[in-house]
Amino acid sequence: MKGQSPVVEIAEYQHGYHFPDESVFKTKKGLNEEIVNAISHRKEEPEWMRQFRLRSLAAFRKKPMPNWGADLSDLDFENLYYYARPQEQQSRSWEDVPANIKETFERIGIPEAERKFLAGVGAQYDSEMVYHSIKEDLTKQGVIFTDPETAVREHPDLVKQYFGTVIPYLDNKFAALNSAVWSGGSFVYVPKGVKVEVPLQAYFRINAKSFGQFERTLIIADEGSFVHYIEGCTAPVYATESLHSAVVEIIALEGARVRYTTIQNWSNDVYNLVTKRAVAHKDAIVEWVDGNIGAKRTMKYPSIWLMGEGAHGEVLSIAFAGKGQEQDTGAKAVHAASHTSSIVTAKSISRGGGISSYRGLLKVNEGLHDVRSRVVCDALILDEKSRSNTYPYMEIDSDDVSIEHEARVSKISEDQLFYLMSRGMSEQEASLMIVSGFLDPLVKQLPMEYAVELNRLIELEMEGTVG
Amino acid sequence: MMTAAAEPLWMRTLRSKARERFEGMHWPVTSEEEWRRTDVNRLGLDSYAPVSALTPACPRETEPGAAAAVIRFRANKCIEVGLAGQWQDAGVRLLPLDNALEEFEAPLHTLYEKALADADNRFLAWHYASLSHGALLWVPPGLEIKEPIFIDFEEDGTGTMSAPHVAVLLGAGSRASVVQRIAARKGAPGGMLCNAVVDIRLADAAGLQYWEQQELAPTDLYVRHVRAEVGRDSTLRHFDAEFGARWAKTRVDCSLDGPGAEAFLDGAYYCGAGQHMDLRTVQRHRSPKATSRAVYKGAVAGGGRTIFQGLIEVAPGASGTDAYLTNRNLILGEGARSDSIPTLKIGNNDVKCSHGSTTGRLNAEELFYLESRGLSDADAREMLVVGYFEDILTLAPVGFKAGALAAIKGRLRAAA
Amino acid sequence: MNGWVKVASAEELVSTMNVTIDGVPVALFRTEEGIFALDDICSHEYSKLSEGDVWAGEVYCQKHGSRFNLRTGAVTGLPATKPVGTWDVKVENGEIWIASRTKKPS
Repeated sequence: MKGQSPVVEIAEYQHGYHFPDESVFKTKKGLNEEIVNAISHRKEEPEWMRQFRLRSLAAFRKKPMPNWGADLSDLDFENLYYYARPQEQQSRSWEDVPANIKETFERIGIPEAERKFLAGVGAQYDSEMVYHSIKEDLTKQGVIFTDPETAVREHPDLVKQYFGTVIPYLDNKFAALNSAVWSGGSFVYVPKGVKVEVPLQAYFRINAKSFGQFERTLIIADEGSFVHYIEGCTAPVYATESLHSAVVEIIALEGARVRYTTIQNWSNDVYNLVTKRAVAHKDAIVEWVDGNIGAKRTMKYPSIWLMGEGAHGEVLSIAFAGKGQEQDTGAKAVHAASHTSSIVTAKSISRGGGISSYRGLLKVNEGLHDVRSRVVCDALILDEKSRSNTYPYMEIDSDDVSIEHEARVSKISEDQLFYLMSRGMSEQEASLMIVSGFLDPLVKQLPMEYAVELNRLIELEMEGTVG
Repeated sequence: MMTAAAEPLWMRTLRSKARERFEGMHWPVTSEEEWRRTDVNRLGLDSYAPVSALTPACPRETEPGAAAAVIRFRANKCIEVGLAGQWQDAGVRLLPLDNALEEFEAPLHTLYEKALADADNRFLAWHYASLSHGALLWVPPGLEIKEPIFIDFEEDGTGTMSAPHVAVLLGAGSRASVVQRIAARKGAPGGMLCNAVVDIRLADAAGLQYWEQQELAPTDLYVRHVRAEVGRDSTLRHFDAEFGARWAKTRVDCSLDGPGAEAFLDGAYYCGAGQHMDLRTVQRHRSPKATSRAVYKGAVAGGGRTIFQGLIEVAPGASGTDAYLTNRNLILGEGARSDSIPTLKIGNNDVKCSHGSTTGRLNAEELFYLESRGLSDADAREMLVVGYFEDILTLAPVGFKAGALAAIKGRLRAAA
Repeated sequence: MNGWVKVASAEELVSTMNVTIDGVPVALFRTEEGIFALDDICSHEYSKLSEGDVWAGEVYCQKHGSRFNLRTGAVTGLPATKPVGTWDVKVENGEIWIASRTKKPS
């Protein structure tokens, strides 16, 4: 019947399991100075970091919840654990990882063979770096890839210089929260001229009931360097809410290039509220590739502040909002220097009652020359229950600019569907093919193993259960 | 001077209800999304005194000439009305508001009550409390009026607020074209607040073209709400030309209420140094199978500030919606500020919705080419700016198009 | 006019406060290094620096954490990208004076 939406069904969430809680150290529920001090003490932090955490806690209490964005009314801050450490020592190699944790990661699907291609893996279990190793040639090049706790202890000058300068603890309520209780994440420093050819990766997993994830990542790419960092995560299903409130700061110094790729597939009870921002200096390039498939609520707007002449920023965003999900994502580009450019490409799919919203800021300061920006948003709504919103903001204070923005919302083209079905495909197969084609330009930008994982995830979301 | 006692009771009751609403509200604050970039607190709004309520109109009867009808106002007094004989006989009415309050009590009463209930900001409540002058146009079903109808407001005042209202009611299958002008009296000292509302209701299969131009004084404030309801198979073409006032906040809110409804909301604005213009369009798709297009083009000179906010909202039941919104901003010099915020809120999948926004300056190559043909820089720029606006004015009545382009050229020359 | 305007008594300024001069809101700060005066309105979004935290010679805007050097008004932390203006301050006879000016801050 013409007008009826294609029939698509969601497969059961494949990763819906969790191990019994084996956290060695777990603080009480809720958040106060005692807990923040306990976290800092446990990590053997210098006084300045403890003070930073306490000031952040004060800011978190004062700051209001956002009065825009996804619906966060069910979020109960008092009913979460803010820290858990599964074991005392940091592992050096895969063999040393506890068996149940290893099994969890192996079920996600990291083949042993993959490790050859990775420079190092920081695997996070209940907010601590369980397994971490740096390949020898990276160390020889002077690249630092470690957890932020180690960086605070071993590279204090670097950390002090940049930590909290891109995303201050007062930036928003969730950045304040992260700044108070951050644990785990990555610290990356790439020296001048060094090009890290192999992508750096880290995996994250929540496995404690009512648990929060507050990893903190800081990437510093010194002049002329290049690094590609990949973050991908899955999580098991819980009865109560989980909160993932990460902060990622990137500094790309003159002529440097940083690409940061995320495929997020948190299970559908997680609140994914992340602040990600990069500063691009003269002639630097920053690229955010952001895939949001899971989570109950996502609010995430990878941003680039173009501070130096000749800087360029790109954001590629994919969002998939299924039943009960709200993906509120987008990008921000702030042009604070002349001869800068930005490109944002955002694609989203809503189905089964899901809501997908693009929220973006394009700002050009006054007195600048030769500033170019192009933003394209494409949204597919697969059925009548679902919704899509687009909220772009363009604030232009210079005249020598060329700014373009386009957004389109539609359903799967019936002509395309009819054509594919007339070739012998079922409606489900045809829909999947069209959706895959819709996402393909962005999926092509992912490293192969991620492209495969993402295509697999999309297939799972679109297909009916088998057997 | 007229006393309020001469107004019908229902109107007096409505005014005091509106007054109560007004007292109970506060001025919009910048934490409200629609007012984020327009801070009304610096305007000294409380110092503007509403002009007296409806002055009894003793307008001169006039021959409309080539037009179908004409009505003219000076300050808040209706001074001239003219309606061609054939239209008068056919039942068309173009009345000053105080006459309309009696002859069209039922529809106006309903209109005002609902408008007041829907009032979402203090300006609207203030408008209905202080209605000072205005017109009602009624076109009976089936009548098609080809010649334009002119509504002309010459505003004047210092430290006062006028609240002109226009109600346009088109019966099923009728057609009309209206040209409305709000301008300051030549040589007026300015310093007034004009708080205008235009209510448009189109019954099934009706067609209305409504061309508005605003040219208030450089010290005036202007706030104008248009509320249009477009019925099944009806078409509304609304054009908003904004040139004057030091501060203008406008909104065109159009709901598509039946299948086959169509709305074309176009706008042109020229914002010079020291001016602040905040324009908003809302395309509300409540019914399935309706179409809407909004194209707003603006030019901002150095020292000017424009904000464009456009919303396409599609309700869950509005399948078959085809809606498009575009905003273009031409920046004419350093120190200009231009914000563009087109938004989509889509609740149905069987739709075709899109929006676009571009911001940039005059094409350097085109300028160079024209100057190499002997045009001065000022003439070349004028040619390109006029060309920029021309395509949205192609359907305008000749007089309106000429008036808009003249206003644009005048502003360009003054700035040069 | 480049005259000095008395804006407050030295006792009134404990750590931060705001005053108005030339019709412009100005934030006053007292630190160990002395008394400083900056434009009160943050260059990022509308917010008052006089309500911000002061730490190590910088003021942190409460709204989003933008940082400004108290002495020079320079931006030292995002999300602001533009500096705020500075005002000359002096203390005489237990009273705080600010130098009036009409030119816009750089």
